[in-house]
Amino acid sequence: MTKESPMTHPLLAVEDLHVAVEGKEILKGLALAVNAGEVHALMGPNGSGKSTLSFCLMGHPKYAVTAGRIRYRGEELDGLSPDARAKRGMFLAFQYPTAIPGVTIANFLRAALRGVRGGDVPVKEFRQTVKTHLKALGIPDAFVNRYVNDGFSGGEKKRLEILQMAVLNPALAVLDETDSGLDIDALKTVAAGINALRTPERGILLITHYQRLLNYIRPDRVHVMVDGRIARSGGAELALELEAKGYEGFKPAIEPASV
Amino acid sequence: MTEFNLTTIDQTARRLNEPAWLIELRRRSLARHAELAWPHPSDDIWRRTDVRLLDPAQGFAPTAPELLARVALSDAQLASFTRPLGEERLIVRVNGSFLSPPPAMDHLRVEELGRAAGARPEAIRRAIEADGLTDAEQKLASLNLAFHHDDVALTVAPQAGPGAPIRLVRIMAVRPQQAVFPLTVITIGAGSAVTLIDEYVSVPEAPGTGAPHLVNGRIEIVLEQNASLHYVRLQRLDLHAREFLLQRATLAQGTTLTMTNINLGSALTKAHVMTKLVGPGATAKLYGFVFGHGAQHIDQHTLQDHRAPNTVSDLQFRAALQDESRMIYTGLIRIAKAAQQTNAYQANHNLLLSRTARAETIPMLEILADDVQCKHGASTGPIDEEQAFYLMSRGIPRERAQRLIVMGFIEPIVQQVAFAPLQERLRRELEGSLSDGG
Repeated sequence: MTKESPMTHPLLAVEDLHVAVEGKEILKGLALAVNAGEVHALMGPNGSGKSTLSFCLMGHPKYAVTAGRIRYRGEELDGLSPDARAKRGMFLAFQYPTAIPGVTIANFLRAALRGVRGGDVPVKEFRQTVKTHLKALGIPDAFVNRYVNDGFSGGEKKRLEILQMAVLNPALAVLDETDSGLDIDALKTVAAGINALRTPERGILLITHYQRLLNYIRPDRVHVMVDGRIARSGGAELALELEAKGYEGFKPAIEPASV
Repeated sequence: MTEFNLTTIDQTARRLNEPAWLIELRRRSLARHAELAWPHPSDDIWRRTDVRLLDPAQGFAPTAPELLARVALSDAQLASFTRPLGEERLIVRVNGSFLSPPPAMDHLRVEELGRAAGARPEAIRRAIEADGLTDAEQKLASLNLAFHHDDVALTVAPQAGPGAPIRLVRIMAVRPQQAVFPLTVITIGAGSAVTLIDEYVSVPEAPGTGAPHLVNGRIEIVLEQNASLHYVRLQRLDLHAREFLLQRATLAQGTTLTMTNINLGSALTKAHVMTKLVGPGATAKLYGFVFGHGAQHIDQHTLQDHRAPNTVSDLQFRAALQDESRMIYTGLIRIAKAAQQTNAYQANHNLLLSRTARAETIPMLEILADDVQCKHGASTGPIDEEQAFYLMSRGIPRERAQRLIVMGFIEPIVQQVAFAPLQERLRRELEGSLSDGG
C-alpha cells in the first residue's frame, strides 16, 4: 500500500481551518480528524463556532474559507457545491432544519436519494427503504405525506433529520445539536437512531452543547472547542470532566480584547 | 375589412338568433363604449398596463360570422385539448359551436346565450348588466357586451347534487389580428353543489407571423341561495394573445364559492376578478396562480366586495415568474357599512425566478363598517437561499432544488382545485415548463 492510497487518509481531515462569515473570522485555525468507524463529540459553549464548522463542512456559500483546508477521503473540498459533497457521502443534520412548504417528505427523500446515487431509484425499492427506516425510528408511515419541516415540533424536526440520514446512508455524518430541544423520550429515540447507524464504515461528528446526549452515545473522542479552535481533545472521560467543571477551565488564557 | 360597428353587431346577432332585448343591449353597449374615455394612467388600478394595447380599433378585426363556422385545427391539436382528465362531464366548444350537442343531463343545461336570453330574459339580463362596474371597466367590458359571439349559458337547477365535475373547454382558433369576445353566464340554482372547470384555449392559425390576437372575455357567476360552487378557470391562451377579462361572481345568502384562477398563457393580461357578497353568510375562497415566463405581462385586479353582514372572503394569489415576465397585482377589499361581522383576508405572494422578472403588489382597503376583521399581506422575493442550501445538502442539484421549491410554492393553490386528475396534470405541466425555462 502506497502512502497515497485512500486507505491511509482519514475520512475527514480539517487542517488549520480559518473561516469568516460576512467578514468576521469565526474559525481561527481549527484542526480535527475523524476516521471511519469513529464517533467524535465536539463540545463547546455558545458562540465558539460549532455551527460555523458544520455549515462550512457542508459547503454553505455564506461561509468563506480564508485559510487552511478540509479534506474528505483525501480530497480537498474547497469549491465543491453542497450537493457534490452529499454525493460523496457527507451529511449534515441541521440544528435548525429548514421548512420547505408544499414539498412532501416522500418527494424530497426521493429527489435526495436520486441525487446521492446519481440515478433513478425504483419506486418499489424506495418505498421499502423508507418504510423500513420509519419503522426502526418509530415514525408513523403517514409522516412522509407531510411537508418538509413545515409546522413541525422540535422533536419531529430532529427525527426527520435522523430519518434522512438513515435513508441516505452517508459515510460521514455531522450532527449539529441534534439533542437540543428534545425531551428525554425523544432524546432516547434519536440516540438509538444514531447508535443504529454506528458502523465500521461510517464516521460521525456529534456537535453538542451538553453532555447528556453522550449518556446514550459513547464517543471515541471528545474535543472541546473554544473561540474557533480545539482547546483540548481526549477520550469519553473528557465529557464528564466538562460536565463537572463547565467550560470555564477551557477558556483561552488571554481573552481577545474585542470580546 | 369588417369594422367594430352596428353592421357587425347586427350580423352577429342575426346569426345567433338573439331576442330583441339582447340586440338592443349590444347596440347600447357600443354607444356606451364610444362615450367613455380610456382609463387614465393616474388610476392605480390601470397605471401599469398600456390599455390601448387592448383597444380593438388599433388594427384588430372583429370575428366575422363566416369565421365562426370554420375549425382551423388539426385532429391532433383538437385531441390534445380535449383529452379527458378523468371522469369529468366534458363539453367542448370550438369557435363558438359545440363540438357535439351538449349532453342532456339532469339539472344541467348548457346552451347558447341567445337561447337562454329568450327563455329567461330577466335572469340573463341581471347577470350581464353593468351595475357596479367603474367607467374604466365598462370601457372594455362594453366591447364584450356589444360584440360577444362565443357565448354560453350554463345553468344548474336548484337542489342538484354534486355529481361528476363539469369541464367546459372553449377553443378559439384565431387569425392574426382577430378579436374574440367570449361571454359566459354561469348560474348555480339554490341549494346545488357543483364543480366546474372553465377552460379557455386560443390557437393562432399562423403562429409564425407573431401577430397578436385579442381576447376580451366576460364571465358572470351567479350563486343562488345556499348554492356551493368549486370553480376553476384555466387560462391557456396562446402566447400571442392579449387578454382583457372581467370575471365576476355574485354570492347570495348562505352560498360558498371556492374559486381557483390559473393563468398559464397570453402575452398580456388585464384581468378584473370581482366577488360580490350580497347575501348574509356568503363565503368566498379565492385563489389564483400565475406562471409567468418569457416577456409576459400579467396585471390582475381583485375586488372583494362585502355588501352583506357575516360574510367571509379569503383570497390568496400567487405568482412564480421566470425570464422577463412581469406581474402586477392590485387588490381591493371593500366593506359596506351594512356588512358588519365580516372577515376579509387578502394575500399576494410572488416568487422571482430570474433577476429580470418583476412583481408589484398594491393592497387597497375601503372599510365603512366598524365591526370587521380585515387583514392583508404580501411578499415578493427570489428563491430562499437557506431552503436551496438545505435541499442541496441532501444531494439535490441546484436546478432540481429550485424546481422543488417552486412546486412547493404553487402547491397550496393546486390543492384547491377540486378535481384530483386536474391537480396531477397541472403539477406535471408546471414542472415541465420549469425544467425548460428554469
